[in-house]
Amino acid sequence: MPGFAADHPVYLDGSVPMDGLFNALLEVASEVWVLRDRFAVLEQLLRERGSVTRDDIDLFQPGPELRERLAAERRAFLERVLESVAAATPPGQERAR
Amino acid sequence: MPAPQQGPAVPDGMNPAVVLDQRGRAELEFLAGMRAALTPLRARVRARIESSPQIAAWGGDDGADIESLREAVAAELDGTPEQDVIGAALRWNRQVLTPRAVDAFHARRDALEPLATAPDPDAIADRGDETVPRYWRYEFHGTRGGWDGHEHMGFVHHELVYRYLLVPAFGDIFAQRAAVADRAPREDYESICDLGCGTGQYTLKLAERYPAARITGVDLSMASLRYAQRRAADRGMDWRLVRAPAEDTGLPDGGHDLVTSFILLHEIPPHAIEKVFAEAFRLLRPGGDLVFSDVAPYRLRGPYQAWLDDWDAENGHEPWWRPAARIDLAAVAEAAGFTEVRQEALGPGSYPWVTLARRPQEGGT
Ligand SMILES: C[S@@+](CC[C@H](N)C(=O)[O-])C[C@H]1O[C@@H](n2cnc3c(N)ncnc32)[C@H](O)[C@@H]1O
Repeated sequence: MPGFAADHPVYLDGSVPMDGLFNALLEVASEVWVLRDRFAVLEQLLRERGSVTRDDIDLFQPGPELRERLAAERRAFLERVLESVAAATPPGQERAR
Repeated sequence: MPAPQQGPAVPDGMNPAVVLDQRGRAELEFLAGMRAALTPLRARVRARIESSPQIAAWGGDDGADIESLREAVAAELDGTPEQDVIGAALRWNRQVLTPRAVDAFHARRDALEPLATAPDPDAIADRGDETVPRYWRYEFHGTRGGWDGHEHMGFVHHELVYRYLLVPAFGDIFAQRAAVADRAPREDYESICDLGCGTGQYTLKLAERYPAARITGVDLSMASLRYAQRRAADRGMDWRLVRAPAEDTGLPDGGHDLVTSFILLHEIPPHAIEKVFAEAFRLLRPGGDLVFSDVAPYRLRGPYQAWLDDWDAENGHEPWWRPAARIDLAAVAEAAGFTEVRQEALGPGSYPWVTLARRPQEGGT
């Protein structure tokens, strides 16, 4: 293409550390978790009460059963995220430790 | 009898009236869940480290040199991804923890602030900003803005960070404080000084164990002291609280029969540790007791745990942990004039690690 345009630019060529992308991934994961938790609360309240207000959801404190289920789901979700990062790292490089 | 609750029974020492909104709760639970989810990665790191005969021999007759252990482990882990992922995950976790806890507080500020406010903040004696040592301004554990980064940081740290992160990760950390309080050699203390008292986590255990004693708490964090005052008041107690460095409290000579601390020493450089012992000596009347509990020496930890402590210290904003895990506190106590110096491990992995000593009677025996 003539004219002044970068058609195949590469911006993230290593000047942004991988850590930055990983942090962003965790931000998204945290947000996804907040939504999953909110859904679980919502479902439980709807089952128990039929209708709910925003405050009902916000101030609801999960009982033992839901707490355990959420903890197990949270852990499985996070293990997937973290294990997938670990699995993708190529061997044989010096790293800070 | 406390009213039955729908939500979680709160851990010992926490206020059950503290309730977060769904986002605040879920965000903090996410951070705790992330630590838990690192377990399989940690297990693989540990297996790898423990498979090395060279590392297994560490701490034997050749001594417990932490630098050589770190080098040996780094070589062993080279080319494996697990510890790097753990490091990046924990770094993010630490970075967002305090800001998220502060946000959770603000989301329910109207309900939480009345639970956080000190009844009589002006009663906290203040030695002033000039006495605050430079090292204390460091952002320990990544606490945003340091221990005083928010007006209610004491509350935020105690009720939110401890409750949602530290207790799930480390279990009943207040039982350890109770065990240390119980180790003090006498029953009849009249005047106890807790150095680095924070929000009174250990102070409360001292007050419960020695109900007849007058309790003094010293810390540099005004936000922590304010919440300590509140926690005491909620229990019908009244502590003398002083904002001052533990190494220069400004309190009178010989006014205490027990001077004690719980996990203060690993937050201060070695020269300040020596001064804290000298100050404790000055604060004690002759015959008075010193009981300082802190991190376990590396040499008693075994190679994996020693490596992990040191890695965590370096990567978790604990610049004075390594010196504290290597210093000979018994020698420091003796140099400060104490006698009957002894050290004891109260739990697994030699933690809590307690140094006990006595200020000799005048004329000495
Ligand atoms: C890890 S916290 C321990 C708090 C409490 N003793 C407990 O049992 O959890 C350490 C405390 O020591 C305080 N601190 C650090 N250096 C200090 C110094 N030089 N003088 C007084 N307090 C200090 C900090 O402000 C913080 O509150």
